[in-house]
Amino acid sequence: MTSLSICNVGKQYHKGATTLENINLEIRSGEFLILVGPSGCGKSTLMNMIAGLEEVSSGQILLNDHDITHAPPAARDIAMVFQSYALYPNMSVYDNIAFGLQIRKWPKSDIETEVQRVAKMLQIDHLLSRKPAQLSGGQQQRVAMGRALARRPKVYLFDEPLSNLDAKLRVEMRTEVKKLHQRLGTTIVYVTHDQIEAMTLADRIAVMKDGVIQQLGTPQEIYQSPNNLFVASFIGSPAMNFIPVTVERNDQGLFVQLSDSGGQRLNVPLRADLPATVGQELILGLRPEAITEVQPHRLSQADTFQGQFMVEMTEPTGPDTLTLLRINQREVTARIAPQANPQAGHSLALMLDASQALFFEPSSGERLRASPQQRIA
Amino acid sequence: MRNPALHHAKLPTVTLGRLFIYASLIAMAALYLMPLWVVLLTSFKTTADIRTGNLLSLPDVWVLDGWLKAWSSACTGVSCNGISGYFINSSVMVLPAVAISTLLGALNGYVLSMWRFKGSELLFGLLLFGCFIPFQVILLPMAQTLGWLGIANTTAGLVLVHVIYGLCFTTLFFRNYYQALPGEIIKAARLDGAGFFTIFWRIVLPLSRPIIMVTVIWQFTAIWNDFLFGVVFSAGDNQPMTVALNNLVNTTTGAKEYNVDMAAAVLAALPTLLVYFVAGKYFVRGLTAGAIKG
Ligand SMILES: Nc1ncnc2c1ncn2[C@@H]1O[C@H](COP(=O)(O)OP(=O)(O)OP(=O)(O)O)[C@@H](O)[C@H]1O
Ligand SMILES: [Mg+2]
Repeated sequence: MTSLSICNVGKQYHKGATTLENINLEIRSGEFLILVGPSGCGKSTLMNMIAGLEEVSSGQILLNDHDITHAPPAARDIAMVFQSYALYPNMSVYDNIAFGLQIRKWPKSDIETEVQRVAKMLQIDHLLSRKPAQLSGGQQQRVAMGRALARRPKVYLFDEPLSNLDAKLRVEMRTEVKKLHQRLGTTIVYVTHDQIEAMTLADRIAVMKDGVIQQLGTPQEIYQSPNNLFVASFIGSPAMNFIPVTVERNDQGLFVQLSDSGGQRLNVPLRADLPATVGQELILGLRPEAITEVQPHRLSQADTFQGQFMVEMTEPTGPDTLTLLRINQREVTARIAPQANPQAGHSLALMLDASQALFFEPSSGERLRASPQQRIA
Repeated sequence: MRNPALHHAKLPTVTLGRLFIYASLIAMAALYLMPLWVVLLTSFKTTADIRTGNLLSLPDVWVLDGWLKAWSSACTGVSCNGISGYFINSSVMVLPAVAISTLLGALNGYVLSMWRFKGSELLFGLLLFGCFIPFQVILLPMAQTLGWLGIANTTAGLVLVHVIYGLCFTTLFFRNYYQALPGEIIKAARLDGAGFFTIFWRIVLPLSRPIIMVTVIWQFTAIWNDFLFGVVFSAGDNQPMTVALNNLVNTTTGAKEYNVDMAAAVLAALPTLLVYFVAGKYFVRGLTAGAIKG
């Protein structure tokens, strides 16, 4: 049972330049938490502070309710896998894995057993006498993981461990990391740039920007109910479409207007509990998969519209064809079944599922959320 | 050569330009080797031969007289025991001076690149400045310091001088080399529980072979060849080889024995030559080494 609490943690490398601000994370025992965010947002800094490699400027870090804010790295029982693998080039694979155990003065026979166990688990037992330079990228990656596993630490930190691997190997290792987590049930904090990695591995995802956590939630929450424009645009590939709209009112309530290539208007109603006013400028967010070929059985559903759109460009990905078109003169991406055969320069009937539409306040970027008062009313 | 296919594909074609390049390279090499050639030839001649023959002619008879005398019976000032004793003096002084300055340089470089502290960059800057201080400037303060320490005119004193003066260079070498080592290796070692010295001994030092070679060659050559510190900070029987060589050449009792002078000069230069032959390839490799290999 290992829980990790990060309370109001801040980091300033230099006076006046804040790298991390008031980070609060409660990582439950056995949880797989993923940190994502653009380059330079402070992910590695946070990991290094958890590991004890970087001073904490303010706040506290608790491991199983023990304050480890200023404990040296060796005393924390936390292992980290680095993006560069950071294997000791002068040592054999065996010694790389054994090093931490030797330092901790384990008996020789126990070290031998442990290294063999870990090597078998990661299928590197035939490589134990090699030097890191004689290994492929994927093998080095496994050794780096082996080194972390051998110590049986309380918490594992992974800082972009798969980003130096080629696409195929990355997918393989991703599966393996997931299996490993399910088998060992250890607490893991994991940094990645890769959305799919984040969505597939995480119990919860923390999205960071400029040293501030923008949202913390399950992959589904993050994907379906992003807190703000940043999270909405950062998660999901291809990215969510954003269309500026103005709120209007008719006898059924508030709505915003979209128009297809023929100028036909589609009125998208705003849910009554959203705090919007007539004339207000908003940004409508619609994921590519909400714009599809016409599926007749769904047309009868509420908030589903059909329109005629001029296809500007297509990008077949296999299962779907990403199709560029315009809504309200804005370029948007749709995810269309290849059978619908979208072709550049041709008009195509498409279906918009407006029930998935999200609305954002343009200046703050915050998503409009049902306000409690209005829900009662 | 390593790739036979490539080797066959690109047979060198003899062009006029290439001929010119080789010709000038050979000419340059000959020009630079000429003095050594003369020195070697002369050292094997008899004194009579030297007087009658010309500078470039081969010896009439090859004799080792010059070498033997230089080694064991030539006069260096008052004593006439050859340079053998001074050869040993130099060795006894050079080995610890090189070892200590290299090790301390490695330690300094390790701290300055991997355990940065407030002001470490400034300290490095000041150390760098030390590389530009001419020998002459430190003579007087150094003499005074050695006097205070009570090791004036001893081998230990000379070792200390060379260690201090060499530290700027060795630190610079190691610091720049370690700068290129990935910092994550050190982080990984810290997480593995290794401390300051464990990381140094078990991880950093084993990765330093190329730069150790460079530093050792650099220091060995500089210290072995040093004359000024040797002549100032040592006296009598403690003097190093270079000073003895100077004394030998300047001691004139009767006719000038050029063969002895030349043999002594070659003997004095032999250890540095040897170091270059044995470790020269590491020198070039170490200086150009950017990334590390396991
Ligand atoms: N040792 C340091 N001294 C000063 N500033 C630093 C230091 N390390 C990182 N920074 C700064 O802190 C910020 C966050 O860096 P960090 O490495 O944590 O980003 P990251 O989110 O891991 O980025 P990436 O995805 O590129 O790895 C950056 O602006 C970086 O320049
Ligand atoms: Mg990083």
